[in-house]
Amino acid sequence: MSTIFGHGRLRLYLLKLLDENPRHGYEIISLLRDRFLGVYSPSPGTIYPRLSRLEEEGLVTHEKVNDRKVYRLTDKGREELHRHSDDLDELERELTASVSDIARAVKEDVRDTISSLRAELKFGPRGGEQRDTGEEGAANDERATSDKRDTGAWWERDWEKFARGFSTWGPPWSKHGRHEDESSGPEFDRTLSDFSERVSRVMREAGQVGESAANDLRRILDDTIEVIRRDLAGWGPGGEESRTDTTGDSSGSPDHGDAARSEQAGERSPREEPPHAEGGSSDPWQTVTHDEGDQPATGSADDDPGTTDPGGDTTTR
Amino acid sequence: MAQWTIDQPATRTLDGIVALRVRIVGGHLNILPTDDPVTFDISEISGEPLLVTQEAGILTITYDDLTRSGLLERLRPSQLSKYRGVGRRSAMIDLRVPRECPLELTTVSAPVVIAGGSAKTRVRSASGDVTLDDINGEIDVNTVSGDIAGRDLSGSLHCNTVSGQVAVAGGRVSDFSARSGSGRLLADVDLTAAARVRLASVSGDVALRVPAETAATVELRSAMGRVDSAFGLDRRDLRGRSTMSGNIGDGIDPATVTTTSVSGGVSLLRRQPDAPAAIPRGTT
Repeated sequence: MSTIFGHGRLRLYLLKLLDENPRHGYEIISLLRDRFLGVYSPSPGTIYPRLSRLEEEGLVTHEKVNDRKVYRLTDKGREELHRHSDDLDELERELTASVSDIARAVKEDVRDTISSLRAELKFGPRGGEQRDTGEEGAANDERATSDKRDTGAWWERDWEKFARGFSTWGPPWSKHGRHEDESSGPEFDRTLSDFSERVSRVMREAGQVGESAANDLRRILDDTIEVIRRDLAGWGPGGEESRTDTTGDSSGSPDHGDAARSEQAGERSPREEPPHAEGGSSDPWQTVTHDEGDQPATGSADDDPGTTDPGGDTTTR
Repeated sequence: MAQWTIDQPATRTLDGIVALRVRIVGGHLNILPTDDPVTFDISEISGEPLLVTQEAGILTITYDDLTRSGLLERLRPSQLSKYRGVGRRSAMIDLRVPRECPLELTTVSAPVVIAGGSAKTRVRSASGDVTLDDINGEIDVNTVSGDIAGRDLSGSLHCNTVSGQVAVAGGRVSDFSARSGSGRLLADVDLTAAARVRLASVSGDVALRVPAETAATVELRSAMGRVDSAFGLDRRDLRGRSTMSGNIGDGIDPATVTTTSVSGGVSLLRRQPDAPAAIPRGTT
């Protein structure tokens, strides 16, 4: 922000502020801060020496009021301000135009904050965080580990089945499924990350904005937990998961194992395909908004039921 | 009622604005607070001209063919195509409005930055990122793929996104809900007494950090993800469902914290009392 005040402009701006009213130093600083919405906050170390210099030049004078120096513009100062009124106008104009600069600074500022937060939270309870929490945390960790030991056996067994179920979905799944069947640990993680990738992609493609989509997500969450809980034990290798479509539709993955729904999903997938094929953009909104002419736009209008339906369908459930 | 059609860069100052509504497609949208009259600055307009209307204290900036109500409903892909060259439309809009001015902003791809405000703030965007700083009020943000980043937000905060990330740092919330499909949810906030926090994701990780002395009733759930807590909570691992729940801290009016994820990890972290409450700021 300091570039705004290059070339003696801060000096000019100080004269302008004092021309409006006699002010004390702190008031000037807070006015400047307000003017720049807290993004540019001049320090007293910047302002007071400049005020003294102006005083030496005879442009301002001060008197003590309640132990505080209140600065006032002299006639000479007013002349000086007058002489530079063009510069002042320009400065004012630039300050107005700099809203977007300020916004950019705000944005970067927030980004910085967020990325430092992200770095901190990445440690997680397993990292530095939990060490700090002392015994309570350690006990908690222990409890968690022992729980895992108890349940480890069935987890591994069932996830193996789960993974094999996934493996019949298509090439990407079968690859992981077959190669890593032996070691269920990595397999487990791999399956999870693949699953989340798949859901991520679906979500990107869904292209539905607003509360309804979010409500759907919430419902899918709850449904999925129920469905998975109910069906987990019953899943055998291959099982009813013999679908080979790889269109990973939003409800297909979470509802995995629910025959009635997979039928519904199957019928939806062909309609979902065109947006994938069309252009590199996976976001239907982008596809449309970046369309250059009417023709392609009309094309995607026809596809629209497909692109919006994943969201829409889940609403009806 | 005053109305302008703007097809080239323009700057204007208006008096008596009590609410702001903006609906644009591309470009950018910046909103900063001011104690002076409202100023708007529009530049780099491409595509259709913008229509600016001032009526009954409401300043509306939008396109001629998008003025009727229910715009967002019609902003879906099928309807969008009816509007000529919507995708080419773009405008850089910078606004300065009073802090207490309610905002209703809708963009398709334009990123939105809002700093300073104490009124109802609603933002909807398809692919634009939304950045909020120092806002106190009722905040409601929805995006499809845009990220939502907030700092020092207080009051009630609702964020919904399909594939964007949600990150909130600092601030003190009384009602905070965030939902995401694949994006991560990160929050480091203080909770007021009896605050309600609900975080849910499908595959995105969920991480919430609260002050160590927070009093709350907590339930963390994940179907397939790892569930972690830096507080002493009871853990239950059922089939296809990990849960940690319990009460933390002791206060008269405990907050309620619920986080859910299908395949994302869920963690509840604590901020040490001696740790600075303020998040380290950037360099600017």
